[in-house]
Amino acid sequence: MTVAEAPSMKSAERRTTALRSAPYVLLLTLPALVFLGAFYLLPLAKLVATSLEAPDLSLEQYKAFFTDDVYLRVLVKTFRLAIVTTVLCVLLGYPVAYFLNNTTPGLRKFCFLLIVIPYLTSFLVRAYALIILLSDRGVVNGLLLWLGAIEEPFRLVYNSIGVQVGMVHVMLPFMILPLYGTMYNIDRRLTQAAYSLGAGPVSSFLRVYLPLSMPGVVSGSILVLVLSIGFYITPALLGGLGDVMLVNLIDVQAMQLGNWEFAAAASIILLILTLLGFVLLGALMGEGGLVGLLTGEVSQSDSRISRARGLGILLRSLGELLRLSVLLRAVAVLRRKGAAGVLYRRPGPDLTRLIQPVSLVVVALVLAFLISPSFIVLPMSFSSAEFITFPPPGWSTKWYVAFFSQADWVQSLFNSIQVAFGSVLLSTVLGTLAAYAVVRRPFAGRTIAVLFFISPIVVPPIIVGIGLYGYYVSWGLFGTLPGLILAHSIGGTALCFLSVAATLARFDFRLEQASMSLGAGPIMTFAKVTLPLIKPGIAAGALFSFINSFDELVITMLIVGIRHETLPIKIWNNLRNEIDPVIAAVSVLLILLPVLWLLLLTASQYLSRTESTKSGAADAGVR
Amino acid sequence: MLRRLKTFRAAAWAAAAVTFLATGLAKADNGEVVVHVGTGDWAEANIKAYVEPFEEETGIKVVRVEDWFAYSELKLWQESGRAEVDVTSIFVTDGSLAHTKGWLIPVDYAGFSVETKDGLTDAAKKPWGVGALYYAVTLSYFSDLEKAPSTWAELWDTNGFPGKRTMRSGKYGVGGVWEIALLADGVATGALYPIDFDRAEKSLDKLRPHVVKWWDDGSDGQQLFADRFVDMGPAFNGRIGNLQKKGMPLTIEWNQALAMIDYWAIPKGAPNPDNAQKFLRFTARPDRQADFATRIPYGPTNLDAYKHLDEKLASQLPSHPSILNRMITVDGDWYAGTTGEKTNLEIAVDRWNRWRLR
Repeated sequence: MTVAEAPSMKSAERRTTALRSAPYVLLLTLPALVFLGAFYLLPLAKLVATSLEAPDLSLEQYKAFFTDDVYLRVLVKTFRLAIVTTVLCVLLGYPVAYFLNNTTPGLRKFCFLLIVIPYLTSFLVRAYALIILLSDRGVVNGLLLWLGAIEEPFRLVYNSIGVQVGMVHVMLPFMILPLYGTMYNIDRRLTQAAYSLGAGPVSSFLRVYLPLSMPGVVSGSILVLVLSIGFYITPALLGGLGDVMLVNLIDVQAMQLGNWEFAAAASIILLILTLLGFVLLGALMGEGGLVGLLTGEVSQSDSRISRARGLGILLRSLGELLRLSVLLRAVAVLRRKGAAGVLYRRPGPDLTRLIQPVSLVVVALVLAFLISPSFIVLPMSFSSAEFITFPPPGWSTKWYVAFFSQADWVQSLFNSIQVAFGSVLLSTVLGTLAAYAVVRRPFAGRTIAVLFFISPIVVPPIIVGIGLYGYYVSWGLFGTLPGLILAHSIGGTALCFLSVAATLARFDFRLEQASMSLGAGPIMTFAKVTLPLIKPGIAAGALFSFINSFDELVITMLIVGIRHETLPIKIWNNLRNEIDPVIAAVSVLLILLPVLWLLLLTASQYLSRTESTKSGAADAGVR
Repeated sequence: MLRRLKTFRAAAWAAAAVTFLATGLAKADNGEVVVHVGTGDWAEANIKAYVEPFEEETGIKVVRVEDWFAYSELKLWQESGRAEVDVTSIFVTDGSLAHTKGWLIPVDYAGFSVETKDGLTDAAKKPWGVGALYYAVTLSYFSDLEKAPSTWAELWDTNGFPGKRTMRSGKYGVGGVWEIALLADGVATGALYPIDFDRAEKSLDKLRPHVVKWWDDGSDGQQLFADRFVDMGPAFNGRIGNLQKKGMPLTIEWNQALAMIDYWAIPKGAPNPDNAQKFLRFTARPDRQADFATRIPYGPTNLDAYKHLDEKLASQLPSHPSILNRMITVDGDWYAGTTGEKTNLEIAVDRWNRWRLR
């Protein structure tokens, strides 16, 4: 109870501050609104009209969807897979994010590399690498057989296990990075305060740290959930006959059958159900809903309210259970010792000693899991075999030679880099400004604004692509690099928005007040105070939009024309013809990119961190 | 501010692009032809066997687009009234469907020489396209199996012919899954169409528990054999050929193989339709097709091409006279046709989704 007081006051104060902030802050959403309005909403609206068979306004396509049990069942499957993936990502990602926030800068840098590297390997290549790892004669089965844990190979791929493993692999960083960004801004004194007030490590975690990190959990979960809903290639490659996602069916309807009316209707249904799900979930979570949690308005203090509701109850009972077990354990220890005198000793250190190694093992395993496909890809790229096999029968650098001797490979890499950087720039600026405005100032319709900004991630890219095509041709953007940059920035802006919003949720806006009262103007304050502190969120958002652009296949395919082939298109076209290790070599070359980039990034982050400790003298002792 | 400026710069690029595109459009049809040449080895073979000799002989420049045909793209071209390419390579079902919608320019067969026309197989002479190549979904297996299956029925006989199996999925509706299931169930070759979906599904039910992976695309199928995740099952002959060439002990069974044809076609709205017709005529010539077949193991559609090929290679090509009559040609026109309100292709996709979720 007492623990909750401090943040509660802080939050109340923050809210009044927020209310006092000038309405012009909302103008910062304008660039993103204009951009998404033209490049996302307009094409989407056209497709909605198509799905309604305008001007007839017929609901035939929607009726067809809801009266067909195939689509309904696949819809349920899709949501189930997405939800399980999200839960697994929370469970596995949370300890990693926590670890990242509590380790040395050097180790953190290294861990970031492990997290980012796999994402620069084309997800197609990664899927093949995972298949090799999980196969009957793969590493995992080999290990289990060798340990004698199993008698014969256990089927880990081409079934729902494979799908789940693949999905978690693809989605984990989308959980870890927002969590990291949120935890970065948690005032560590609060946990210390809890300790000093007698809370053990478990209850101070459950009652203080966990609620404070909820915005990260929420934004990470939203990201993973919506991305999972739309992701289908990995399930198709790693799954069995029954593992089919809705977007898979939409894709066949749109691409193969040209049935855009139905594909559009199905996409709209998917979008509406997803957004509705968020609203419902928010309602279940208590006052302020999901948006309140995401924007940090409710989570930290109003546990009194949320405690009475759905998730609160669940968390509390979990906490009680844990505490009970700790208590029982403590009692057992005491009994063994038979000393009444130690009754006053906190069970804390005992438990910490128990939990720390366990969580370290979890973190190590998760990181090893993330990097494992890249470990397969590296030797594959030096293989002398003509196709992707593992282990390679011999060694050769011919695939690198092949890459560099083909001008179109190098050109496509160059195109991709240009597009990705352009898209990162645009998305980061638009997404950050919008997130700042939305979190900074509550206003009527904020929920709708938040849902609008994240909705581009939910709509299947094929639908966006088809919608964009006509406009692109008439606007002259078809087949141009700016056209690709703008198209990739649709999803990129949404990803940046989510990531930055989660970081801002933990941001103490009183710091801005302090800065302004000391004479800094709003721009100066933003640049010197706000920006450095929300950097992790922006960096994560930038990374997401980079990956988004660098892996984008479906929209690109429709609007790329013939002059600016990007790398994923090249890889895809190549794969359709034959799977040769050139794509493994490409993947390895790409790994070099983020290593460089990330080194720069972490260096700047490290600098900003030391700086913020210095400048945060007013906030002494935060870190 | 600076960042806003970047956005403006993007807009300026866009404006520049408009001008560039407008001028590009204005000087279209100037002695060039834009061709989808495919990708990888296939593109390489197309360029060497057709594109370069065509340029040399006619002086018409060929713009090579390394990409595949996509039905949705064709539809987008029709809606915008502007096609990006003059010649594309199109699968029989898509071509037939597009033809019924009026999206393809009819082939000018009157311009073909009599010999060229006579050399082409009947299936290769569609009003909307000229056959480019034969390929097939064949029963393929590792040569070291103790008992090798030689019919689809034997693939179904899991006790008599032990080994891990793969099967083609029906994701795209067309592609062999229904035909294979019916043939395995004893349906006569001539009685495959119209597809009896009920019977095919009952047949698929029997194989279902024994299939390791149902592959969607050729590359997935190839990878299953490359890693030996499976011992036997249907695969594209070209894919297995790739693996054989690279030393894997695999055998292709031509008996009951499903033959498919890709066609060269001209989309409506093509900027250089006359040159496109010339290109089509050129690709139908036996000498060119023979040259093509020496570069990639696909079958010529002009059977006179075999006069230019040595027997060792020829006997491994899907349209070789000794193979062609053992195969079953997938009836793309039937899939493009309708039953009730839907095309048979749509029905097939629907049936597959329903069955796979059972």
